Amino acid sequence: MLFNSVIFITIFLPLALFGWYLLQKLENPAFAKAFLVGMSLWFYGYYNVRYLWILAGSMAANYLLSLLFERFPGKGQQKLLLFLGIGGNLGLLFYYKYFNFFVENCNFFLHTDIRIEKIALPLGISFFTFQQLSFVIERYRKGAPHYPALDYAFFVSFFPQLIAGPIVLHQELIPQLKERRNRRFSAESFYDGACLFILGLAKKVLLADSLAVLVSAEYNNIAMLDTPSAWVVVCWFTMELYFDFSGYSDMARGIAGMFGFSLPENFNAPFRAASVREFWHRWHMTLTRFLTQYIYYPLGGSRRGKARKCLNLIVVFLLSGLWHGANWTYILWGLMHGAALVFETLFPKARFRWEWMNRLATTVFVILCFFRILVRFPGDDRPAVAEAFHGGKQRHASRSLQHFDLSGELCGL
Amino acid sequence: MLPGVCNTLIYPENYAVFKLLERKAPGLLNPFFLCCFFLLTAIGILLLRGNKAEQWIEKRGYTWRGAFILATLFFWSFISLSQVSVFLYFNF
Amino acid sequence: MKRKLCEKDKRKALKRLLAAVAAEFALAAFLVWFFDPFYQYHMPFFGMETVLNDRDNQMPGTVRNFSYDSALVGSSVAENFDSSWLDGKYGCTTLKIIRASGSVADLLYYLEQAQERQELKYVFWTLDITAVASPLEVSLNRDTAPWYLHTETVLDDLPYVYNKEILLEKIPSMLAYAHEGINTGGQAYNWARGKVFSAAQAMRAYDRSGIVLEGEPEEVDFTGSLDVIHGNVELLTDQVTAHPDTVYRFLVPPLSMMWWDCAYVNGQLEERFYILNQAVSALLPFENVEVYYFQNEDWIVCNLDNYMDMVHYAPEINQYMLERMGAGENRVTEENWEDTLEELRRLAERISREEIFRYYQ
Repeated sequence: MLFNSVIFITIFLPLALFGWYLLQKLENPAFAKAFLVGMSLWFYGYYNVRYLWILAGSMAANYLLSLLFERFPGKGQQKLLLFLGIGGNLGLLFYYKYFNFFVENCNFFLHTDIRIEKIALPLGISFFTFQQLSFVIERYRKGAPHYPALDYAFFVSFFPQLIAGPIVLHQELIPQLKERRNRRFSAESFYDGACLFILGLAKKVLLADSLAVLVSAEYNNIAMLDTPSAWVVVCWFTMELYFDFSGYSDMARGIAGMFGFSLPENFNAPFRAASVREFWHRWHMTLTRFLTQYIYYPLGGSRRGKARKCLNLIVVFLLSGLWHGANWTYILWGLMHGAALVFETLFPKARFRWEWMNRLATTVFVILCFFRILVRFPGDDRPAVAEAFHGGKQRHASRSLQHFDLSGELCGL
Repeated sequence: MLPGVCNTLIYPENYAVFKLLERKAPGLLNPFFLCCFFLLTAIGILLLRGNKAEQWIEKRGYTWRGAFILATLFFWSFISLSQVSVFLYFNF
Repeated sequence: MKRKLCEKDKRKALKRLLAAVAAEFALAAFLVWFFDPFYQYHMPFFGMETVLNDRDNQMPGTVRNFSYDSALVGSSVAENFDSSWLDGKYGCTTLKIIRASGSVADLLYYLEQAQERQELKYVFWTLDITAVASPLEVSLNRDTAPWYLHTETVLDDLPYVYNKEILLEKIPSMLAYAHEGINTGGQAYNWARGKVFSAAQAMRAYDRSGIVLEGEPEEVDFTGSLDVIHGNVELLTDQVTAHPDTVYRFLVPPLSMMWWDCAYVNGQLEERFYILNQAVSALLPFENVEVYYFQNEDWIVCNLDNYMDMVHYAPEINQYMLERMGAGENRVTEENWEDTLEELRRLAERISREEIFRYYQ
C-alpha cells in the first residue's frame, strides 16, 4: 500500500486512526497496540503478502535474540549473540538484496556460470533490518532493555516508517508508547501531523511526479539530448528524487504525528548545505546517524588520526553506497561522496570566500554525483548523459522511472 | 532543443491553455512550454532552498489562509492520485 | 513574543482545515455532477449542448441516461454518420452505440442495455465483416474498462468525481467543444475533423509494392474459425428474433480495394466471402430486417482518395450511404443476394489483377 493512494487515504488511515483512538479508551493499552501492529502488517502485506513472512520472521528472530541476551549474560555469550544478530540480519539482507549482485560479479570476475533465478527484493528490507540491527547492538551494549513482545513488534512494524524510514531507534519510539498523554487524542499533535502529511503528499504527488514527466520522457529520448537539455534533465531528476524521498518522509512523520507519535527528522533543507559533510547531516539524517553510531565510531571515528579518519570515511560511504543499492554504480556514488569528505578533511581551508558559492558548489557536486554515477543505461559503456554533457554522439538508452535499471558493470564506468 | 524537451510538460493543470494555444496561436506553444518549465523549476528551487514543512506550518498553518492552502493542496493531491506513481526509494 | 498556540487553538485550526477540505471536495463533486462529462448521472441540463467526443467513456452513460428510441450501431467506420439525418428522415431519436472493433458481442452488450429501457424503433447497424469473426465474449470487464462507468451505483464513482483529468481536461474540453459546435448534435464521436482522406495518405497503410506473388496465393484454411463465425451470426439472428417490432437496417460498408487485395494476398478472400455470405443470408429472411449493401460500389472502393487507410472512408461516403438507404436504393434481398455476392467476387478479382496497380506500380 502506498501513502499516496486512494485506498490508504480514504480507508486505511481513517480506519487505523479510529481504531487506535477508540481502543485507547480501554484500560489496557495492549489492545490498541495490537490493533496498530495488525494494521501495520496489513499495510505491509497489501503490497505482497509473501513479504509478510519475511518481516514476521525477522521480527521473531530478533526478538528471540533479545530474550537470549537476557538469559545469557556472560560476556562471551553476549558476544556470540551479537555476532549471531549481526550475521543473521545482514545475512537476510545479503540474500534478498545482494545475492544477485554477488552472483553476477562471481560470474564476471571468476568466469563462473552460476545461474539463479532473480530474487525479488522485499519492500523496505533495508530499513527494518537496520532498525533491528541497531536494537541488537544496543542490547549488547546494554543500551536497550528487553521490551515486551507487542512493544517490539510495534517498534519494527509501525507502518509510517516501515517501508522507507526514517530509521528509528528504539529509544525514540518505544518510550512514547508508554506515555500516558499519547493515549489521548491531541488536536495539536493530530493537526501538526495532518499538515505535515498534506505537505509531504503535495511534494510527492504534485511536484515529484510533475518533474518525473519530463525526466522520464527525456530518458526515453536520451540520444537526442543536447548539453543544456541534459543539464535540465539532471537537475530535474535531482529535484524529483529529493521531493519524492522527503515528501515520503514528511508523510511518514505526519502520519505518526496523527497517532500521537514523533518520528525523527530525515531531511533538513539539504540543498542549503555548504559542504558535503553538512549535506550528509541534512540528507537522510537517520541513515547518517546509523552509519556514524554503528560503523564510524566503532572504527575509531576521528580519534585515531587523520589517515585513519579518512579511511573510516571511505569505509562508511562505501557501505552507504552499497546500502542504497546492489550495484557498482551505487558503490561508486558512495565512494565519490567519501572522497569528497576526505578532501574536506584534508583541506579544510579549500573553500570559497562566499558562503553562497560553497552552497552552489556543494549542490552541483551532489547533482553530478547523483546523475553521473547513480543513473546508468544498460548496454552502454559510457553513461549517455555524460556524453550529452560533452556534446558527443549519444546512443539511445531507456530508463524506467519506477525502477532504476542499474545493471552493474565495473568496466562501464 | 530545450523547447522540444519542454514540450512534454502537458499536465491537466495546463491542458486548457495548451489546447487553446494549439487551436488559436500555435506559434505561442513553445514559449508557453518554456514558461511552464521555468515556473516548475522556480517552484522547485524555491522549495529546495526555502523553509522546511514544519517551519511553514508553525508560521502559517494555523490561520484561515493556511487552512485554505492546506485544503487546496490536499484536494489537488487527492485528485491527482489517479495517475500512476511509485516511490523511487522503494528499491531499498 | 508570539503566543504559543494552545490545544484549543489547534482544535479550531483542525476544524478550519476539515471545513476547508470538505468545502473543496463538495465543490468538486458538484462541478462533476453538474457538467457530468461522461453523462453518468443525467443528460445535459437545459441550455447545455450534448458533446459526445469520448466514445468509450461516454457510451455507458449515454445508453443509461439519454432519451432515444433508435440506435446507430457499429465500429469506427460508423462514427462519422450524421445521426440527425436519420432522425429527420425516420422521425426518431437515434443514439450512437459504437465499439472500435465493432465486435458483435460488445455492441450487443450496449444494445441490450438500451433495449431493457425501451423497445427501439430502429437499429441502424453497420456490419463489418471482421466483426462477424470477432470473439464471442464481451471484451468489456473490470480488467479492461473503468468499471465504475458501467455500474449504476454512485458508491464506486470516486475515481470519476475526484479526478484531475475530469475536472481540468474533460469539463473544459466539453465546454469548448459545445461552444464551437464540435461533436454535437448528429456528429457524436465524429473523428473526421482534421483527417486527410487521400490516396497518398491511405497508401501509407498498405505496402503493396513490396509484395511479390509467385502464382495464386493459397487460401487459408479457416475451418478453425467457423464456430466463431456461426456464433456471431447466431448472436445477430437471436437479437433480431427477440425484437420483432424493431426494424433492423444493416449496412455493409464499402471497404477499400486495399483491404480486399490484402485479403487476396494473404489467402483470406474465401474466408471473407464466407463470413459476408453467412451473415447476410442469415439476416435476409427476417421481416424486420433490411440489408443495404455498398461493398460493390467500385467508384468508391477503387478510388483511394475516399480513404485515409484500408477501411476508413470519408464522411461523404457515410452520408451517401444514408441517402441511398433513405431512398431505398442498394438494398439486397434473398432474390438478388447471390448475384450481388458473385459481383463482389468479380470485383475482388478485378481489384487484385488491375485496379490495385493503378496506385501501386
